[in-house]
Amino acid sequence: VNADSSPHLPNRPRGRLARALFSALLAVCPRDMRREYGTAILGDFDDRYAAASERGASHASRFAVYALFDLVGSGLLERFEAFGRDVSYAVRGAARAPVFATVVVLTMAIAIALNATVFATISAIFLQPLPMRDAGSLLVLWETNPHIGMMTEAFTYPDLEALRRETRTLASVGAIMTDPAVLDGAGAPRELNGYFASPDMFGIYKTRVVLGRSLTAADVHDGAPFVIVISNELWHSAFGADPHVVGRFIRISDYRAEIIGVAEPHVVEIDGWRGGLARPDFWGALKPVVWREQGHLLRVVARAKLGVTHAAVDADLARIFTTLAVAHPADDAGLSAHALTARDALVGDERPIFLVIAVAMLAVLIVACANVGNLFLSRASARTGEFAVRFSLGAARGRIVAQLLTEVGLYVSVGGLLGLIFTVYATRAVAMLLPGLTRIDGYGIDPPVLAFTAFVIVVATLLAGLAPANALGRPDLSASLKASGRGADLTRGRKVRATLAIVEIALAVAITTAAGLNVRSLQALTQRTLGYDTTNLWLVHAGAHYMKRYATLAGQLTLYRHVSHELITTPGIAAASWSSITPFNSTPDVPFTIAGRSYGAGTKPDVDFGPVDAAYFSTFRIHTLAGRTFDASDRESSAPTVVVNAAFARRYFGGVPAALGKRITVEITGFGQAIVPRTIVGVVADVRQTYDHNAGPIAYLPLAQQSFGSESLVVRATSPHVDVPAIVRSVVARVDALLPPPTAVPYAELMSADVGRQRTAATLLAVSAAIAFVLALAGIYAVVSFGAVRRTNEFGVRLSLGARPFAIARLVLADAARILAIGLAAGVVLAAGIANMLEPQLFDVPALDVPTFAAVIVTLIVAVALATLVPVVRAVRVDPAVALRYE
Amino acid sequence: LPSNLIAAHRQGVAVPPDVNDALPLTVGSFHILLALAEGERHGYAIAKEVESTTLGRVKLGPTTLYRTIRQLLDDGWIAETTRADDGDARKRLYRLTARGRTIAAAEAQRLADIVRIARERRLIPALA
Repeated sequence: VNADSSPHLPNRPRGRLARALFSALLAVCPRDMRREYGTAILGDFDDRYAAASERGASHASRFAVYALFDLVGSGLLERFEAFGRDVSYAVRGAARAPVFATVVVLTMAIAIALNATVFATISAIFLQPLPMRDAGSLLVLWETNPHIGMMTEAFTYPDLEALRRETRTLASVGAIMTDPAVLDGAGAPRELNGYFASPDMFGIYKTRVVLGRSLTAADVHDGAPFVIVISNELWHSAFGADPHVVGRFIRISDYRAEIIGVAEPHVVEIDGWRGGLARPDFWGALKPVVWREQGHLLRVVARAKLGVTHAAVDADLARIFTTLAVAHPADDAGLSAHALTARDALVGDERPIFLVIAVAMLAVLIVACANVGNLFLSRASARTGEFAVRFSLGAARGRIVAQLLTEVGLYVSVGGLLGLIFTVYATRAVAMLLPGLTRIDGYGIDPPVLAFTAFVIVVATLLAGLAPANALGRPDLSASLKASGRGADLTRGRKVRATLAIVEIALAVAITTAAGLNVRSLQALTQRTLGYDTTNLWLVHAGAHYMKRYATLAGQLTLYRHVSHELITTPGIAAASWSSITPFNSTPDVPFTIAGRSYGAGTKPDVDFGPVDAAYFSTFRIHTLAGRTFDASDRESSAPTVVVNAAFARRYFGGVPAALGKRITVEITGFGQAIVPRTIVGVVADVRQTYDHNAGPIAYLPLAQQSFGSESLVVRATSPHVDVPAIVRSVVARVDALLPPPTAVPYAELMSADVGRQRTAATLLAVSAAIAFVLALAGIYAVVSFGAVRRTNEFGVRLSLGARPFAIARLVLADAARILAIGLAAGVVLAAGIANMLEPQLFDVPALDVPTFAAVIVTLIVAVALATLVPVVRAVRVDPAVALRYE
Repeated sequence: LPSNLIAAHRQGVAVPPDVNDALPLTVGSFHILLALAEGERHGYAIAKEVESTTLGRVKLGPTTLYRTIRQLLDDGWIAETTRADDGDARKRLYRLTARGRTIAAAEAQRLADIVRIARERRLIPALA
């Protein structure tokens, strides 16, 4: 607007100011209104201002203020009304085309639900703060032995002490040892999650004590009484929140312990054994006298000094261990240590797979948006006539685009709300699939998920709306008007639609391949030969307290024998065995030496090992390859024996028969039994301890000669209908009424949990792939079908001129074939890239797995062929008379 | 029957059914239609006419004026008599269309009916 154009330009400064302000505020009005009436409104302002000025300055001012308010009010109203009109137009449009509306809303609901669910999962695992104070500076330390590829070795007590002494970067270092324990004397005996921790652990976790005191350095002295801090939850559940609980004595695993304090509620710490998150029930002092002689058993948690970088901590650890190796070459040569943030220690392994899932979810969103964009384009093309008329009547392009975006936005928003409802159920399903979520509570829809969903709705609206808006923005007016809507299409719209379909096909191929690889890997993993039979097999966690109740080896063996005997004489139980090496549970490892060979510092090999009773191999149905397994002749007083597996025999003696009669020394310390050379009396078949475990060397020791006092019971039932937990409970109660009831878990459950992460990934990917696949098919169907309908006349002409139906079919299929070929090519390249990303997560399946790629390609081609069948048949059956009538 | 249809029936005027949808009119729209009932006018002339006939009780600010004119044009109730190709919309003259006249009449009748009821209830004095 040219300010000089008005003959009535107010010339006084105040007038000029008011006019400038009015002119600037015209921007409040929508652009098309401004363009059409801007000059008129401004001119009107000038005329009336001049008229008001003639009646006095106050009149002029009053008019200026009134006109400004009028301008802003009307401008906003105009904008708001335009939006309201667009919304009501969109709602009426949806009512007119309910099928179209349903398809669009459902497509977006599914895609948005998938995005919200994956985001909620990723947020819970990686983004939400860990449920500990200042988790960001909490470090988990591991000893490493790069020579044998061991990156996560627990600490020995001497190493921990050296670390404490020498560190320059860590403010405090503490160790934890998780130990199941039994609480007696507060109702029925109950299993507790006991934490034996350095007193600094309270400082490191910044855990507050609400009653009494926390552990102190005085509590770790050799002669100090056994004192514990109990969790707030235990205080409530076992002691009724008794305010005088401090000073009370209770029995924990047959030891008298004094309660000295109660911790604040909801304390979550890193589990000292499995490494996940756990809620301790009580904390006792980790006494050097107990742990000094043990091997690598301590999990170390630390806090860095303020402002110290992670790299500096790692450098500091490397320096300390170099010094240690010089001082104690026998124990510490080759060892080092590194620090992980608490988050990395907990979920670092999960990152690559969730990255792939996140990519898949985005791809599904893009495919869904492409599809919705496509649907709008197809529909909008049918309305070309309407748009052209409106253009010719002077409607601004911006208005039509705004209207289209409003329409798309409305559908996407309704889809988003519906998607959130789906998400409620989807997150519940994922929580069941993935029990080890980092955040123990509160996984589901929370403010970050809502914010993310809102963001997705905006992005999806733009993605789905911009393509049709762009294609419709500049229609060929004269052509569209002449063609009167029917048969008219926007060439540009057609190209955009074909491109969208290609993108959909490519992404669908990529996601489906990723899902296929994961499913194949999961299948391969669970079909691996384990080396033992898990049919009707149960693992019974008897608990670590047996050692404390039955202090001597003879006492423990008697208990084991009684329970086993009672069990196998019960109908329904086929076999029972006690051992400390149970697959899918835990497998300790120790260094060992072979008689007659010499070992340099730090070069003793490690071996998985465990005490097993005589029934072990028959219960698991592990084959004996040479010699014998254990029997009644292996007693505490008889010659020390050992059974090894084939992998052990091959690696260290070159073959199965060669191992028989050789002597090895397994260096188990801390269980009160002598370290002695043992004669290999038998070789058994290889087993996998878990699905992803390689069948490595194992040494089995006779339970009669070596016990941990915390053996597990394995029971085989005769059929799946036997109530093993009830039988085991009643047998244990009959043998010793004071033992807490054991828990029995079927092996099927343990094995399923072992691949829980892979299953979650495969499931999420498979669901994403199915959605993307169906959407892509719908996309290509829409393009081909629409193209065929558009060319009905042409087909009619061709048919009446004698073209054969086959030729017509080829014309229709050419469209589909072009899209399919380009989409497939791009998809395969994309899939190969994703497969390479996935490779470290795949078991027994190569990244470029030919069967998977071939299956995806063939399935897609067949599916596309089926999807295009309808438009092809329709085109071939065109009645020339009907088709030409329109001409 | 709606009051305006009763009125139309009484006056023997054919009122298309969808006139109903347009009523009641906004104060601004109705006064612009009333102002144009006298004949063609410019935008500024309309605003002055409305202000003077209502004794200043109804004011149409510059933006409201043109916004309302635009809506009435869109609805086809008023039309431009001169095509202003010089770009100055102030110089355009507006006139009432047949449809605009029908609508304005229907609105007036609607108000008259309400006023009649008010008189019957003795809220305002009866006419002589």
